[in-house]
Amino acid sequence: MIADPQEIKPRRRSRASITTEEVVRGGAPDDLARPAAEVLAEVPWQGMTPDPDVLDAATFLAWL
Amino acid sequence: MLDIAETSAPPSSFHAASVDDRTDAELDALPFGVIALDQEGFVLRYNLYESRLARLDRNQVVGRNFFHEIAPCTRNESFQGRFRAFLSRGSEIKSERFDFKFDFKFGAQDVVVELVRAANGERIYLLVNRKRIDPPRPEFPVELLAVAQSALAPQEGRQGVLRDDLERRFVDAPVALFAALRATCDRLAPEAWQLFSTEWGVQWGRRAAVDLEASVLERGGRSLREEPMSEAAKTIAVYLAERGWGLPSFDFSSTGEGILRVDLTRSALAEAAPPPRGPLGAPRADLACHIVAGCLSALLTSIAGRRLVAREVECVAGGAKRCTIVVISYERRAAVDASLHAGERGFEAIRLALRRAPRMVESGR
Repeated sequence: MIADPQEIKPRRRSRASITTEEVVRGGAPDDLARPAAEVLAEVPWQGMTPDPDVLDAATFLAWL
Repeated sequence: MLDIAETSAPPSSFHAASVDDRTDAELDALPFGVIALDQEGFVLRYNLYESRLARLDRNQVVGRNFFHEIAPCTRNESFQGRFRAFLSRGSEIKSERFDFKFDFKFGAQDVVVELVRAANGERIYLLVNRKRIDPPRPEFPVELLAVAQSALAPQEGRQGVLRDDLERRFVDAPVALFAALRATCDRLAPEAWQLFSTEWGVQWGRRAAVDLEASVLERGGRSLREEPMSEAAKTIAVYLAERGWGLPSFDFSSTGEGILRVDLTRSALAEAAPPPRGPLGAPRADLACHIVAGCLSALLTSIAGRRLVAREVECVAGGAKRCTIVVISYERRAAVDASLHAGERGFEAIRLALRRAPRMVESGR
């Protein structure tokens, strides 16, 4: 017997079963509570300025 | 390696007067409703956002009369009367804006409607901006409620049509379908897989952004961009997880150097991919999650309002313990692509490659 298509429902995890702690980490809680557009706008997407004390000279010169 | 980049720029800014020049795909990327009517009120075009918020399948809407068959709640002076008056004034007025409330069985929606005349005057566009969604108004006459999808196609459940709770048609696709797609591409155009699947993901992500914006509005929020960062990230994670793609988690530890890390647990694409080496020992592509990466590119570009690109940098399909995707600026993608093409894998390797890359001049937002 073929099931009535109206009765077929995909199995899904409910939204409540996934917690924020499971899917977000590494940011300051205060920052992550701010509007997403603001947070992403403040990311230095061009990359950070390298620290010459950390990188070797050749890498630093290449970056310049 | 194909010398073509996937679409990465967000749709260009929208001008109401040019709406008739937009392709259907462009209209589908807009975060507000667009309905094109002829002078009699028959629906000519109906975009994805309108379909999502009205919970109607455009395949059943296009060709019907908007005022009589789709939205009887507009059959009054404050809507249809304005429409007729706008038509009668010819080209002297290009557009007109007014507030209205759409009444559906599932809720009442406060909207701002802008009437826009196409250049040839034969089509009138309704641009519908939702401001607020409330429960249904019990006092509103049932016979004037906007039509329900089940009334437009009452027997479709017996015609092989599946719909979710929001009346969107879907196909219950097994992971084997994606394995078959990958196998087909590996046989016919192996070099095209990465570009094809990334572009597919970007196109999907643009439509997903429309879907998520509608969901945020229905939850009482204003837009995904205005949601708290953690809530926006969770919304994206839930969206992908609920559809079976695996569970993405967002790591903001490296945003100080312009990298957002996303780990994807139990990726369906990675688990559907062929083994990293073929039967004769020939190397195969070891990154499999380009569709999800492309989707993340479009979703995060939509939230950030600037061009962002996501690249998978290690994958379970290639033997890694996890699938990891990095999100970077569009301008820095070449450094990541070159590093990946050279065979470097893993978050730390790509981070080092980015540190060593020459600083790129931003090309604007």
